[in-house]
Amino acid sequence: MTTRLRVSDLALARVAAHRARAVPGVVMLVGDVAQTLLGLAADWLPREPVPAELRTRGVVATVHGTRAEVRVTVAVRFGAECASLAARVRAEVAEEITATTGLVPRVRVTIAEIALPD
Amino acid sequence: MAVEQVEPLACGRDAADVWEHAEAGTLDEHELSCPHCRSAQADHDRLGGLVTRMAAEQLRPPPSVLEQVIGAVVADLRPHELLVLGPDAWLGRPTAEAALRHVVDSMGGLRARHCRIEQRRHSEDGPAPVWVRMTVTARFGVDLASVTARVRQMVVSAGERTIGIPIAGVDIHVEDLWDDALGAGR
Repeated sequence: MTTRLRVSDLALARVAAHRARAVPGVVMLVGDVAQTLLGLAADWLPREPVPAELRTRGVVATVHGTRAEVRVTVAVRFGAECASLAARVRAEVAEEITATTGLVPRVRVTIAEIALPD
Repeated sequence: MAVEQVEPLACGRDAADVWEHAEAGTLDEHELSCPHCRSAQADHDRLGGLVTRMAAEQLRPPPSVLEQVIGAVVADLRPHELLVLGPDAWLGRPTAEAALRHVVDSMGGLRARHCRIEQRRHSEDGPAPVWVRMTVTARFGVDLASVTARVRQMVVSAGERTIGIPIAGVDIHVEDLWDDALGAGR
């Protein structure tokens, strides 16, 4: 008998978002307009409340067989060096995905915002 | 970055050397007393203060609905608005420009007006260097001869410390002067 594991896009996105938010220097994940509006709508319809640490806004993930593609968009704090921080987010998200799902992902990171003091 | 002859401060010293000495604590007698070198040291200390203060700051409170929507619109970046940071890593150009304007704004007697960062084609090893064009206004009485050297040094250091892309060159344009006494705007 063979057993096969399939991981959904959503589960993958949750793993990626959770790990990306934990990288020091990352302030938050930044969703695009569609994701943000859908997220806000979901907040007003509390059928299935999603705890903050599992939100996937800012992450787009697709599974193709044993490969996966993940796009992460983050805001970082001013003072963190963007190039190495982006590399760290890529490495940590990829490592986490491989460790928890066995998938080998390609992770793309965009820093959309450097959070400046008010 | 290639070593090149750059515009010195008004006293003839190189702002990069003054920054280096301030970092190492090896300022000489001239640098401790010369007003041009003193303002370069103040720039150095300001960047250090900004970077460490921000890096130590706590997470911001969760954004409001309006902030989330504005953030999403701002974050909707088109390909030409992205700087290449490395393999599969990008940085939004508008936010990088805002960060550089912010550090120049913190310099004594100067305000940043416009900043434009341009990145030529991607290079094979690491991110392609960028060219920065910065327009500033200065307080009347600020030593304009040193402004080029000070702004250049600030932009190069801030670019490398906070963005992580090498800076190929900086164009500085002093657009206007203002006077505190007259209450003239920035």
